[in-house]
Amino acid sequence: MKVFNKTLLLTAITVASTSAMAIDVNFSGFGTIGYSQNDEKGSVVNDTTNKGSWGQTSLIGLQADVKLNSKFSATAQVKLSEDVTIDEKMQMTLQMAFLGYQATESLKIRIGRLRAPVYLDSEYLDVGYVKTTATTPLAVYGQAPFANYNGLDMIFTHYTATDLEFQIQPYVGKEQVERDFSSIGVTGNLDANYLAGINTSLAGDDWKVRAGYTIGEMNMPGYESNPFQPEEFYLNDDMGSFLTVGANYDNGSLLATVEFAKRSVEGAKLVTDLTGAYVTVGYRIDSFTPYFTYQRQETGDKNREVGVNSDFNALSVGAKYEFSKVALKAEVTNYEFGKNGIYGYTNTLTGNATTTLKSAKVFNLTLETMF
Amino acid sequence: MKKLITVSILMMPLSVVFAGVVAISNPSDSYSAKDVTNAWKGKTTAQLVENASASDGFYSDVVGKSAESVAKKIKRKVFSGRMSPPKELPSDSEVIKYISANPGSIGYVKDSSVDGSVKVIK
Repeated sequence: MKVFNKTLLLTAITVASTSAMAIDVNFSGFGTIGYSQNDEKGSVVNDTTNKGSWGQTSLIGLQADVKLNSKFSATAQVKLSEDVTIDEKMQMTLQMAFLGYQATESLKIRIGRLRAPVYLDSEYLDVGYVKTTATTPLAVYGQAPFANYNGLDMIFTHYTATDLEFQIQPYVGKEQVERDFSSIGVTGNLDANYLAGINTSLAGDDWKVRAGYTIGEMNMPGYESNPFQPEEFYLNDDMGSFLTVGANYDNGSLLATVEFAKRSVEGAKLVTDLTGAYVTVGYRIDSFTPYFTYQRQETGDKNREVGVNSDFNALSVGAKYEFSKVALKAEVTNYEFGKNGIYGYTNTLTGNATTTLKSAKVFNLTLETMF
Repeated sequence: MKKLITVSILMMPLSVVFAGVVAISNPSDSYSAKDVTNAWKGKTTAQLVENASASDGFYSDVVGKSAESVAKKIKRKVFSGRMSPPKELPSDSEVIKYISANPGSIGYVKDSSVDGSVKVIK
């Protein structure tokens, strides 16, 4: 699939540069400079440390859109951000690279590397400037193991008589990502041998509701190199499912978002079944938007039985300030963790060092722009 | 007479013609006034054409929202790979030249600049 993506990208670039016709190429991008730090010495909470880091949230994204003709287009987006497994090392990743075909006014087909449309904000997750909060709530956004996949989707759009936008988007594909599972003694890839899902939404001018469901066969090849752990603890071609429902409202001054997510995997006792939700409410006064977020996550029974517990709740208070195409955000989150299991936390929230942690505060400062 | 003028101004399709800025398309297309406002909400398959020399009047009077909030809505769709980015041009003449050569595009110019190569959307 990697080779396929490169071929696709190369084809798009070649077509764009050699065609005698005038083909539109548009470049755009976005960037975040972010600082994060927690208040608990020696602990890791949502990838933050007590020493503070510029790496966790800083990123640059670049996108090229090529209009081949009235029906066909090609899009590629790359992101430079911190390496998943090595702190303070930057890594370039391909976020999107697809060929789009506008079959009819109401049907668009896309093939290549795409964003997984599993949350309200998942398709522009890295574009901090268009979002209100400095961080995305982990209780929901921490659940999906993938942000992208290689495959194809179909976007059906229908406008109602009152101009509401109704969309149905089925998709299929596969994905392989490098993940840091060092907290449970495994390194290497997390694979979705295949995944299939559907995303539906209904949107007015000031509001949107969406729901999605995805299934996938999950695999963690790295466990094979760990002979001390029984197979039933890890992902070994196990079926997983992921359900998400969300809604947001923004009338220019009042903004509110609620979102719910539930993931479960057959077997794989060390891989958490999670149920999470959050609510964010903010109020915009000119260029200043104070907000708060409350989030909560609970771990499935199958994990508790073997001492794995990823329960937490958190309250964030923050504010966004916008000036000449730049957004400055400051946010403090107070996490309270559930009773620790013998393996500590196995989700992305904490590492080994937090098995005795009851609570922690995380501070985030971000400066964001788009162009 | 004064009253009549006021009434007729009020009855003009305010969403498309105001402050001397008009929405235009290729003569082969048949977009409506509603298509124009929907397009700048990101609800379109048309190619949007921005015009740096006429955007103030267009956003305040035709779209009815700030350029900034419209840009955010459109950029969300662009960075999601769901919409072609708007073409950004500096002047009325460049916008007219582009739209007359590209069916399926919508833009806006000062009404005094319109010529026969494009169609004013009413």
